[in-house]
Amino acid sequence: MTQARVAACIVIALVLQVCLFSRLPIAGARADVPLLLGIAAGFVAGADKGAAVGFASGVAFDLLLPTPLGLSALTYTVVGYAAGALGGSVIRAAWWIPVVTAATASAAGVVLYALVGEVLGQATLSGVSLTAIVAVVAAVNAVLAPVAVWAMRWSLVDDTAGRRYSPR
Amino acid sequence: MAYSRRTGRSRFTLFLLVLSSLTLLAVDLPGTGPLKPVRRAFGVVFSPFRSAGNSVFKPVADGWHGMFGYGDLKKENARLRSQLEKNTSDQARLKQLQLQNDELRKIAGVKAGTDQTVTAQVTSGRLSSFDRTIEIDQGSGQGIKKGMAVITEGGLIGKVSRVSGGSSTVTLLTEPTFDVGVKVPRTQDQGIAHGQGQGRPLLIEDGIPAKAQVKRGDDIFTSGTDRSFYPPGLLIGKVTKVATSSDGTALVVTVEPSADLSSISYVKVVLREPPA
Repeated sequence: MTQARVAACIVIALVLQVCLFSRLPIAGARADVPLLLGIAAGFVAGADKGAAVGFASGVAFDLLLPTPLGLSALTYTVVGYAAGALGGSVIRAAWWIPVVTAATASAAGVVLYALVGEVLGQATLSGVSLTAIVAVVAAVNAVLAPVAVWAMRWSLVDDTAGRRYSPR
Repeated sequence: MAYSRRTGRSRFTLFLLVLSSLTLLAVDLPGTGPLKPVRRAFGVVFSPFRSAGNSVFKPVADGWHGMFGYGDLKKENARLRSQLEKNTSDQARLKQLQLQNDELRKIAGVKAGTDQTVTAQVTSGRLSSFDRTIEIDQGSGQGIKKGMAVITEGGLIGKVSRVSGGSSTVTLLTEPTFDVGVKVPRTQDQGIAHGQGQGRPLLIEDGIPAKAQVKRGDDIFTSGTDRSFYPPGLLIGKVTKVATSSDGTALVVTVEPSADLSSISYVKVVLREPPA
């Protein structure tokens, strides 16, 4: 069931990205919703689930993009892992913590994507300014963070406790 | 103890997934396409979700453009009006020249046969900030091949970079990976223009000697010579700036594309076989 729910979340994220957010450019920059799923999973369930969900949503997004397959997957995996690893060291109670985590991790994700893309000859650093992309992706993902966190709590199961994650 | 075992497991997960991503990249990067069927299958599976999403979200996107594009629209309207007046006079002149041209062609026995084109609708724009392509609804079934030129009424907009049965991906000419042989008909100079990224003009850095008489306002067309992928005489844009290269041997010419790349709904693909 867990996998099916994660898959449903990925499909919804892709539909939002492709049909909605890709059509709402701000200064030429577009939001990156699939990136948010791995971050939310890491935040809710820790580094390994963050990496796994990030990988899955990255591969799915890659399949729709003309860029080399694996570029988003690689970035989202690392960012999901990092969100989980860092998130685990924070005592979470305030509502704004997922929001800040999502914004920071998204910004880092965009920069990582651009750097890896540039290394792979995708010329990701020319064109729309990286600052604009970082700002737009971080802002949109910060706003959507509570929804994504809720979706991941709904999807993922805590293996040790054998039940879904509850809000902390 | 439990903590370190958990961390160890996550690191292992991370390692495996990063390795998988790198493997995918290594397999897909050469663009030879062993993963093409996978992409296609996923595209098919995703398409019903996509069309459902499109019908739900299209009004939102249209509203967005209405909200943020109003100032641009007003400016564009004024510009178009002034252009229209100029065009009417140009049109008359064009007609006359056309007649003259027909006569001359008949005399020279030159075949007026231009390349065939396929009209296609743009099905999706850029999907992310780093995406530099658009998708169109015609593919190999209609004779489209990788490398073919894509045009609108405004001129050249890009080239076909990937083809499947019923759709193609078009890389826009502003992209840094885009090169095209160009010609300035007024001076007969030729060079190579390349993109500099979305929203930025093209640049001709090679081919035009420093003593050439290229100036601001000159029209730039595809040269169509050598192993060019493009037929000759497609309009690319206008010269907006001319400078001399740092070593003083060539002109660096900035070209503003004439086609409006921000809102493309229909395009034509020129069915000219790229050289083997």
